[in-house]
Amino acid sequence: MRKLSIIFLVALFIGVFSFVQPVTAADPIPLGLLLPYTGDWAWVGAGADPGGELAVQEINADESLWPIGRPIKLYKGDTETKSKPAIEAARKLYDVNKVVGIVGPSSASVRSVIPLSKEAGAVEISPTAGTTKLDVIGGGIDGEHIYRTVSSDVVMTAGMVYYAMKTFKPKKAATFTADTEGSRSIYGGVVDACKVVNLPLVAEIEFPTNQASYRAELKKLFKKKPPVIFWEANPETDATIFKQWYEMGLGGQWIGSDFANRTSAKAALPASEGAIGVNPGVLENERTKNWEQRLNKISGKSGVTPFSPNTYDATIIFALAIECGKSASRSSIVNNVRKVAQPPGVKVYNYADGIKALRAGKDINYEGIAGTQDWNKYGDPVTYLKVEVMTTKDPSGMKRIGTVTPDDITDIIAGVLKLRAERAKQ
Amino acid sequence: MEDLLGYGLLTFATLALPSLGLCLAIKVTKYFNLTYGDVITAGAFLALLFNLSFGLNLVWALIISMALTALLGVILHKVIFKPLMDMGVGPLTLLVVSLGAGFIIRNLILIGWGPQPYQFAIPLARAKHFGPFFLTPNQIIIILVCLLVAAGIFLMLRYTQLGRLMRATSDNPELSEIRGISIERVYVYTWIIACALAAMGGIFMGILGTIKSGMGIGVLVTIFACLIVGGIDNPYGAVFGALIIAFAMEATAIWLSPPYKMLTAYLLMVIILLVKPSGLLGGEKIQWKYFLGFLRSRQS
Amino acid sequence: MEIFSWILTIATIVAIYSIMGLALNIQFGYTNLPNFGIAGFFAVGAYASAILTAPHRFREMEIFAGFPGGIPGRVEAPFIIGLLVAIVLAAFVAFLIGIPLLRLREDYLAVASIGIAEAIHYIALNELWLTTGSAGIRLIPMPTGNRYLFFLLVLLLLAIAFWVAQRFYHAPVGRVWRGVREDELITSSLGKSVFSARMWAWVVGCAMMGAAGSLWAHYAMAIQPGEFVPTTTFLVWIFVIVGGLRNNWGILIGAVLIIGFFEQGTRFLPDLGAPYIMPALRLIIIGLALILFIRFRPQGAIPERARAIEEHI
Repeated sequence: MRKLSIIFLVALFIGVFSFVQPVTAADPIPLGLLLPYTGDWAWVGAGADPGGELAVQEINADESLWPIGRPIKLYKGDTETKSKPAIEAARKLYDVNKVVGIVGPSSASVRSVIPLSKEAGAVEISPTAGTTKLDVIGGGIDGEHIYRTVSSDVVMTAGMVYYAMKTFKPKKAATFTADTEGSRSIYGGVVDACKVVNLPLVAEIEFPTNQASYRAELKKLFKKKPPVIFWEANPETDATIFKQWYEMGLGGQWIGSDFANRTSAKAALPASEGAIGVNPGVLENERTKNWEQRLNKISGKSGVTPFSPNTYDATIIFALAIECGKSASRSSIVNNVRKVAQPPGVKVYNYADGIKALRAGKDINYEGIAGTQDWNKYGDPVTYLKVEVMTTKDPSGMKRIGTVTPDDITDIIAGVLKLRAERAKQ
Repeated sequence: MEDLLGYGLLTFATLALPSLGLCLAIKVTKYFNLTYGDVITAGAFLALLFNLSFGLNLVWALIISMALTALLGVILHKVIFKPLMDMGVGPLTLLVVSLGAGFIIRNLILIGWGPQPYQFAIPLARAKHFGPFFLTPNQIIIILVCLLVAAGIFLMLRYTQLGRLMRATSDNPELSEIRGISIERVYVYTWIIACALAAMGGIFMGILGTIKSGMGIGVLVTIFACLIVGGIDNPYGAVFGALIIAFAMEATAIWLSPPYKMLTAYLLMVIILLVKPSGLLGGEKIQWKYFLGFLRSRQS
Repeated sequence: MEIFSWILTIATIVAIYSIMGLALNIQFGYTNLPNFGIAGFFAVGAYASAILTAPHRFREMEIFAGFPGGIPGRVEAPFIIGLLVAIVLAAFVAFLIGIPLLRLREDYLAVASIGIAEAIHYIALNELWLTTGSAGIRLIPMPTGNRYLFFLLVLLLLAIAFWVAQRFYHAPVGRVWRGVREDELITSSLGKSVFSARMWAWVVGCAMMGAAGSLWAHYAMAIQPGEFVPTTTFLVWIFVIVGGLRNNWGILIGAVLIIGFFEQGTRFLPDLGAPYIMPALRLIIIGLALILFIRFRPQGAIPERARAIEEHI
């Protein structure tokens, strides 16, 4: 009897939750934002989120400019930087919130969510996943509508190696990377880029994250005294690594990727003074400065938080695709998302211009904040990279010292892709 | 080789005091308390609060944290464990409850401070060569303080009244009770000492590494390894076990592969469990038979 | 209605965890073997299945991105092979570990089993050729291609697990185990092999956990070492205790309550500020639930029917 009453209560509980509301025309269009808000990559979620919020704010600002007359509503999911919670969150977004597409997730879980997006027939645009494993999938091939508004790690590592060669002219180098997916992607990219520019690597050390001591690994790393070290870990590990590196007085120039960011700087300074990060950034001009100010109002922080431009671009692209196909159905977005992001078409630099152009019957090519967002066959773009150095002199922990443009690195990228194609044939 | 000495001692310094504290707690209260790991974390974060947020010198922060952590331990005992012990639950149930309590503490800390790592506000330092060692001044201080405190605890156990009370209670609780010793008071004093030691261990971990919400539970199994290898019912064993485990772990890191440090600790623990379960310095078996009987008679 | 799809997700997870709860019941509830290494056997099963059933494509992707290809993805075996290997491997590991470990007293066994689980976790994390390390294994196929059918499959296995647990409770072997629990001295003086009874409980229970792991790998379609942590073990312990030790129906209810509502139900609710607060709150509530339950209802939701000592012989 007790069992039955418990079952009854459970059914009642579920019944309460399944109250369905009727859909009307002015109902918001649900869009998923799936990011690592907790876990190892919580800084990615925290950085990217304001970009999405800003985009939605601008899309919804003027009712007359709403895509197909409906505002966008963001539904957020937390991947916890792991696959399983990502899959569950994605399921909830697709099944319960009925999102028309997902912005996200990160490299930690993106490949796990792809089958779900395929099953749901929806577009997934990741603003943060640099993993090179996406280099040859997506873009609509095989029904996998996965695109990116951030470059593959191949681009970022090419940028790292390019900058190192240009600025420090080393005769040898080393890598010091964690055994996580994102770090391995960087490691693979650096190794190939170094091959292309003929920079020998005298040490390639891999380590588990979040350990209490890296002294043994550091010793191995500096055995042959590399002047440049390409590294990738996470903020917590960075704090320990740099503290102990400083303590041991080992010297050398550290160059990192998007993991060398403000969160890492806050954790690792002052020991990491001088460490350089080459990460996705925006071209510095009037337009992006303006955008940055609007972003700061939402994020409450100064500067461009990591991946916010990419998230912004992805969200805008969704809205434009909806208007372009005159429908918020998943399949319509699938068919229209490339049309609005790539040439041919009139170049538009913001959402309002894009909507007006579409309504005037024109084809558009959205040029984003993070980059031109022109996708190749696999749905990947090449975006700008900024070079920053960790320093206590700047209150945010990092100071910008340069930019790497796609032109600087096309040769290296081409070389790396050729290497990989050859390797795949074996 | 000099690395081994230096790093071995550093790891020992972080493990020794918590191992000692947990050993005393288990010996006197007679159950495995797994909240201890999160007590270590709490100690580190309390010190962080006073050091980073309130701007106090780390030494003061350490003292205040030790006091507050001891208070936390007493509260945990009075509010959670004592009522259950009075109800007559067995030690395995207490173990599982201690896990629940650990979840609560760990996640409260997580809510309060967030998932990112923290560092104490102390100046950076370079290591210097001191004879066979290559350490920073802070690290040398930590090692010395650890040795002093451990010695102090041993002296306390042997020569003070509290020490005698603790030993009597752990050897034979019923007899002690008959002879007028308040078991409850001994429990409270034991927890005060154990938690103060935990706080110290946590703060040392914070100085040498980083401070995050999972730091205590992460080191708990290693501490158990120290206890089991050294002898779970012997305080000297706890410290001795810490010495062995610390050096074994660092030796593995230097000569084999750094990731396998932890595996060494577990392996040693399992080997000792198979060969000599009472540990290298342990030997009294009487408590554990009583322990089992306690367990059986309490299950309904 | 798509809400059913979400309910299905929760139900699948609850069912998989229930299998582990029943296994723990056999080991601890009936035979006094506190197994704190549940996550380890869960991992063994999950990885065995994942490594064997991962598609070639997964391996190709890894190699293209510059990572060494390991064993996962070489074989691409069908689901049933993965499941069987998971069960057999978990049983085998349990047997090997059991030979030395089952001689130990309970508390030592508890701590030793934690160590075993941590060792397995470490191997999963570091033996790249076997498990691809922390990135984990992806694209594991769902055997029936359809989540509803898969849930029925899980239910089927849960029913089998339940039957096994109940048989052990009622059958002569079960009585020996209960006898072992009640009083070792009497039982062993009657000539029954205590050790053999323990080993059976241990191996069967761990095999069930391996099966649960296999199901999990296929449900989640991607596994990472970071999922097989002590928190998983503790969750199983918590709902087994809350549900009522030794009572199999109670354990199922405990799984629904704890795993169902706390692990998944609160995802419905809105964020309370920073996104890490909700998961932390969930765990705090689980911890509180455990403490309160034990405090006010030590027998759990459904107490066991009392039996006289003679019935155990």
